[in-house]
Amino acid sequence: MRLEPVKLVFFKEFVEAVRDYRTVIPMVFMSLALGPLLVLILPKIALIQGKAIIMDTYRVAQVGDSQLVAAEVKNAPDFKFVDIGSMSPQLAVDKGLVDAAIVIPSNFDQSLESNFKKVDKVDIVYNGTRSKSGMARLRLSMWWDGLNQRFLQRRIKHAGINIEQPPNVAMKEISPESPFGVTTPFMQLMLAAILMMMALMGVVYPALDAITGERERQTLEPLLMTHAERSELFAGKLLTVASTSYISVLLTLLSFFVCQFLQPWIYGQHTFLQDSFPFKAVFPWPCFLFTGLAMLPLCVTLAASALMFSSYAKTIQQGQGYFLPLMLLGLVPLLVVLLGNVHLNASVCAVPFLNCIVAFNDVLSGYIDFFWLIVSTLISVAFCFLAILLVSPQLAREDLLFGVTDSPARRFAANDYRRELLFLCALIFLLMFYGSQVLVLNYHLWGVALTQILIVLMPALIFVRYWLRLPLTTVIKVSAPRGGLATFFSMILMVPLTITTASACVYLQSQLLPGTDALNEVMAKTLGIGSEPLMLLIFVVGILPGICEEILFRGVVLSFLPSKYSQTRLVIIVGTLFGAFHMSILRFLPTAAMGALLTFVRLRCGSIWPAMILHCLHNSFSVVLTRYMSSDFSSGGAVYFFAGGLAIGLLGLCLFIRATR
Amino acid sequence: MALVVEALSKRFYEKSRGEFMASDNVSFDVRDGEIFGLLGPNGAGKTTTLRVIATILLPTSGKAILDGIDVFAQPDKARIMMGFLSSTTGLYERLTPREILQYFGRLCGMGSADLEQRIKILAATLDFEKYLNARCAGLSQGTKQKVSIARAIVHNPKLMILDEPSTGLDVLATQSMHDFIKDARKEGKAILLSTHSMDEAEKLCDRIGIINDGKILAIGSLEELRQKTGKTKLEEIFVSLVRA
Repeated sequence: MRLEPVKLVFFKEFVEAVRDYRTVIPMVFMSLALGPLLVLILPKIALIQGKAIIMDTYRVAQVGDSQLVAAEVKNAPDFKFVDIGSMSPQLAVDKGLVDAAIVIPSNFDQSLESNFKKVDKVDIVYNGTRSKSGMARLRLSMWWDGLNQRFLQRRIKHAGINIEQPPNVAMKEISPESPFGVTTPFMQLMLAAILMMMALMGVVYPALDAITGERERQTLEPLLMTHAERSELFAGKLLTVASTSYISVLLTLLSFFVCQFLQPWIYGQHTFLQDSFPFKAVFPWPCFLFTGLAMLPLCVTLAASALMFSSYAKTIQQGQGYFLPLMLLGLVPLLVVLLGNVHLNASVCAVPFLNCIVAFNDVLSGYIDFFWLIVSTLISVAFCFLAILLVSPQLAREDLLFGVTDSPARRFAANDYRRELLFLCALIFLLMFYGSQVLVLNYHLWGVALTQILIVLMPALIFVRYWLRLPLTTVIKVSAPRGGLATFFSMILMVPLTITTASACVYLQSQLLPGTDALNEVMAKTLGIGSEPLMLLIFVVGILPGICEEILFRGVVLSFLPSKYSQTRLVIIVGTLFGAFHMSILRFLPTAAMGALLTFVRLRCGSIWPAMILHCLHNSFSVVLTRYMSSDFSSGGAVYFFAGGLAIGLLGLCLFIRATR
Repeated sequence: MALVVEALSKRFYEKSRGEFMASDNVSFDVRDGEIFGLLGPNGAGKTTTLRVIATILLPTSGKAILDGIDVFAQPDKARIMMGFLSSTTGLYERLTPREILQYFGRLCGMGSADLEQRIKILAATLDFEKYLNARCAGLSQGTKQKVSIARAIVHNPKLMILDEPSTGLDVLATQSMHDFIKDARKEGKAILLSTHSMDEAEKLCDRIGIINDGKILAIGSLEELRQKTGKTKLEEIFVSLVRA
């Protein structure tokens, strides 16, 4: 990639972007307006509202006779007691004559006077659909709590018992002095959400304009005729989109930074500036600086993702539809980060997008781990390079530029079912995400069986038999394997290899990523590995996935990838899909490795049976080992276990390769 | 011989029509200092053929050699030597013609001084000098078409591929466009243009390839086509070839 064309594309795109009011208005004006709005105006509104809530009086009816309550009522300034005569309290509240009613049971005073007699409950009647009535109920119940306390003390006094009051709790807040971090949690939450929103808004329109817009206005065609490479064009556009997003973010930060100085000036030395009022804006300059830096990888990652989405759209309208997932992609991790108390660590760093959000939220909260911050930034850069490499060829796609495509019959003849496969994978991944988790959490072991049959097997079979109308046996490759019995025997020998490799993966992961052990424990508990009958466990966790997942991945998915792909490419693609299918970052590595090995086996012997047998045996032995063996690999015996397993397994692999030569 | 096209085919698929050949076994050549015209009705396959030669579409089969370079095997090298004006092309509305020409010129590897000189010449020849610094959004259709042509050939290519260059132009603008193309021929450029206008083909082209349903029906100078069909007017020649 040459720098000169990238620079040229960047400058041209940037000039175009700043001449477009649809980009400039959110980028400049909205960013600058947010600071004053949230730091200067919103607190004012909140103060007025708060004051109104504090000053408000509530109309309350007292139903039932009680001298004791009536005496207390006179001293309650928040409530205006209204006489509703003989009207029922429900009707009075419903008609809005009063905000709430307090219903005192008969003989309340007498019961209260006799020390050890149980007193009937007091009811508070309110209307849940009216906010003021709801507020009245809250205030009334708080008031009643205080009243109850006094009644109790009266009883104790009356009984002649002398009890000392237990100590009250005193609150003492400490705020650690840190040059980083926004002081109030509310401000931090708000700023994080707003920065994320601005970064997202900064990419949406420019990204759509830069690729889909060019395609729609038909200016992409001459651009592709120039001497610039596709990747250079894409990189230039990426820089522009990242810049507009970053400018939005910086201006938003700047407006917040400046407004913190105006806040005391506007409000005077108002009491809330000394108390920990949620809107108190204290935004130290190192925090401002570091947040600015930490936002850069996020803006670049967002720009790469946005351009990726727009590269697949023919028209701006279509592109806008594609941006919904991007928004969700941005907002879901933000919610997780804001509500889940997540910090940068090895596992978070490895996930592009999420790592950027966690990074800047960490800086805002004053928690900075420089090592992981740098690692996270490097991973974001790698993600962008990958995006450039993978997506830039999309710029010249004939079907997107001119609607030129091959007929389905011709694609199928060339064994190219990629589009249909994309649909099947999307469907199965969605079903796994939403359906499988619900099934497993609710029905445990039976949930696993249902997942395998309803989510894995059925869609694959319906897809092949009823949509594409292809013979199942040919697609799934149920023919006899190359190598015959020797191949089957080698599969049995390979089981120790897969088990030791998977165990090693899990062990290494547990050393690097927090949560691996916890996940394994939760899984074992949910599936009842220790309690359910062993044969049932072997059938549901061992054999059923071995059959269903093999039919889907080594059967349908593998058969529908273009036959022109090399064996290595197929192994990597199917392995990655198999890893992702398990829907857990922590399980990705072992399952992807297993998926790759099973794909290799299926491709080499030309039949699904050996892969199916290996998968069933692997799962079944894993169940048995989890049930009866300790997972503590630090003991001396583990070394022999690994070494023995590897030796036998490699022998099996050699035998397999020899048998299928 | 500047460009030789041999048995070029491009297959399309549409849901309503099924599969069809947009270019079907098309062969012709364009010599240096010659204007070769592809004449055919709308939907005959002119634009597709030109797009395939310009490396914007991949051919289903066939070959194109430009000055000894296999266009489809080495598209990067071939692109340096050709300029392509597409009939459907658009301009960057928020940029000025000068900025557009600078952008494309620089992307084609031109130096600043050469580029400024070239922009000056192109603007003068195509007569849009006074609009050089105005945003494209406000330009007339004719001026936009002139700027599009200038953009296609800003890097002074050896082969100019012009897809219906006079579309949307008034009489005067068409005339100046024709003069411009003729001047390019004088400079020794090979010019491949497509048109559906008999008049334009008759006035401009040294040789004409008549294309219909993706197939070339006949190739030759106007005189050769007259002798072949026994008709005098191009219109009659065209009709007789298509009906045959």
